[in-house]
Amino acid sequence: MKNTLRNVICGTSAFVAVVLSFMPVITGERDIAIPTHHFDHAVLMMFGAITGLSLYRARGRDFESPPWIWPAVLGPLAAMMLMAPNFYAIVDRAPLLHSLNHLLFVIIAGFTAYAGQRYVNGVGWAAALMLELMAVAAAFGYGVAPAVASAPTMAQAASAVTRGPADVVHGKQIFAQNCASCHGVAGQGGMGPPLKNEHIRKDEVAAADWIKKPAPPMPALYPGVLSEKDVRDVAAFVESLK
Amino acid sequence: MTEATTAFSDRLARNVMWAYITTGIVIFGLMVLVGLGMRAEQAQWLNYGPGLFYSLMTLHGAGMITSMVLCGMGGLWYLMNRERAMDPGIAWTAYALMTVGVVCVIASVWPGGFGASWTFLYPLPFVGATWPGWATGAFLIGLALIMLGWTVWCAQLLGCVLRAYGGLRGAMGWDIVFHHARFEASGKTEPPPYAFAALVTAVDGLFAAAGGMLVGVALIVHWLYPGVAIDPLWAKNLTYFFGHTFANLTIYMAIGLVYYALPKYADREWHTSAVLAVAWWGTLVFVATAYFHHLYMDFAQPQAVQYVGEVASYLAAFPPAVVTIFGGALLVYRSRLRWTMGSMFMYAGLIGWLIGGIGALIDATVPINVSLHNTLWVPAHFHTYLLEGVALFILGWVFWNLETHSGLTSSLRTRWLTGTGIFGGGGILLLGWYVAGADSVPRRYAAQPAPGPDIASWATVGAIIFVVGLIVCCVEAIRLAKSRRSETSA
Repeated sequence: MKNTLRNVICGTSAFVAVVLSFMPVITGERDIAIPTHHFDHAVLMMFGAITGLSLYRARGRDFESPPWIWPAVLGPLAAMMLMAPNFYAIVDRAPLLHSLNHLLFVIIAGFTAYAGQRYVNGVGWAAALMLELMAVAAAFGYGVAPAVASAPTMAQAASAVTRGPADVVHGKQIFAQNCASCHGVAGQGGMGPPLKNEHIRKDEVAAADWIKKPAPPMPALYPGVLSEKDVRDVAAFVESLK
Repeated sequence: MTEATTAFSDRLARNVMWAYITTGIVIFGLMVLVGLGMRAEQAQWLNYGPGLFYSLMTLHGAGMITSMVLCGMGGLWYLMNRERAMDPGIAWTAYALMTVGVVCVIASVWPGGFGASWTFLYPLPFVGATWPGWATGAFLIGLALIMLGWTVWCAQLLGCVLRAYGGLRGAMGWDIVFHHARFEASGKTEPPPYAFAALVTAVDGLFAAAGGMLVGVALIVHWLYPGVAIDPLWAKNLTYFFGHTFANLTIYMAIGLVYYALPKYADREWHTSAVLAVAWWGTLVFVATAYFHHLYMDFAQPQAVQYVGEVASYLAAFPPAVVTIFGGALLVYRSRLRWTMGSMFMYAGLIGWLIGGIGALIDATVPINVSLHNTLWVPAHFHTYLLEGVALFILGWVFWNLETHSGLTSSLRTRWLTGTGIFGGGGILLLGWYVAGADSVPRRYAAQPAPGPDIASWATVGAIIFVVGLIVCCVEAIRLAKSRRSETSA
């Protein structure tokens, strides 16, 4: 009776996993958001893991089969590498390849769970749970930013800024907000070095380059906090300090 | 199994244990020197510049945690191997993976110059970096190898615990708590206290590794394909879920060793009780959710988890600490304990754990955290926890083994010298962080505002005294080890 139930669970989960794997062929090519895609894979792997766990026939608890530990441990790692969002852009355009990719996820999950059980009865559950948690957690932040193609490159962003003469007054405001805590309000120095007469050491272009790419511990605020214009204005203000 | 076979397998297991522990202690010693150099820089005794400081800080953090983990792994593996024999090949492979990982991390710092701290918070390793791209890759791959070795070890330990006590229910001591009379009547043996430490380490270690591997793979993918962006808050959650749990487990591994060895000194037994089992269940659940206290100041973090973080921080540390420290004190009370290097370190470690734990709970309290979390208070508490807690338990375990096998103990003068150096010097060193933290001196700064450099000066003196104590301790350990060898060969 117990074995029959196990066989039913095994067969059903394997069937569902295979059907779900071929959904890209059934529904055709479509764009899927990365978090949804990760989540889809988590569902696929759940059915794969159930198949793997129910395939195992207990051989007693007090039994260690050393070689089986490796697929149990490496399976989750392999799955996470396959879930690299840059692969999604490729498989989303090829439904058959996408389905085969799904089958690979199912096989990895099934093998991870089965191998864990073969290693020591009970370890397969832990390995399957690890894999599942990783796949679900991936949906919340692994490759969440806009796709590379739609995001402007750094050069595009820089060229988009209107170029004009540096504004020393604006530079002073930016300096007070971001730099004065270390270099002093008037550039007299503090935790950071004094900046008075900086024009002797660096010209405006060199000062701007330094602000963009400083050496630690000075934080790099460009391009996250400061824009290209902010950097030029701050550099102009620093050059004016006597 | 014949007596000769048992002796042979015990020798194999000891080889595994000593490989882990020796490697861990060598890394620990080197990292102590790196730490001394960092404190001397903050005291303005040295002036090697902030670039090198942040690289050394990265190395020091990653190295210290790994060293303590390696020592705990060796000791706990040996103890659990006595319950159910495990395949040494797996343990050796895990050891090799971790050692190669350590080499990669060292290479990333020197000659690579990687300096994004061992917490490698995204996008710090990639944005505004002054080190080459390969150094970031070497660091990430090194950490991935360390995590892989750790995962393999945890899986093997979990297998051992499940085999030894008939599955999860037996290993958790479920029947001891809920069906005590039936359990006693069944004639089954309850898991020893160190088995609970092993179970918590294995289970939480695997979950922590899952988080660590996920964020590690994501960062490696980002390193290879910079277009793949990562949510910084998600990465921070996973990094601290892994890092905080990993660091916490060092003490649980080490406490497993104390559960075994301290009763031998006291000539009493450390019994498994329902209270002890329940305390460890609390840790099993809450240690994984305590890390939220590192994100109290991240305004984008959902507010509900901040409450979870505060409650879990109390609940994770409180039960095993109270049960173990109270149990340890009762064990020693009127026992005519033999005060040797081993017992001295173990007992002192309980005190260090208590003080470090209180420091941690203060920082984990939301209104106080706002003032303390970015100050030297945080290094104060985790150095107390690691230096005067975990490290002492490990040293205690090493001396327990050396004293047992050599049949020798250390002289009173040696114990005083070591104690003065390690507890006295260590105390001055730690006090420097607490005082500076309470005075709002920021942490993770190469150059500190006043009064940081002045406090760092006398803390550096404390660190030097600590190093002297550690050297005396090492010389004594080598003396005992040599006596053991000469006796064996005789």
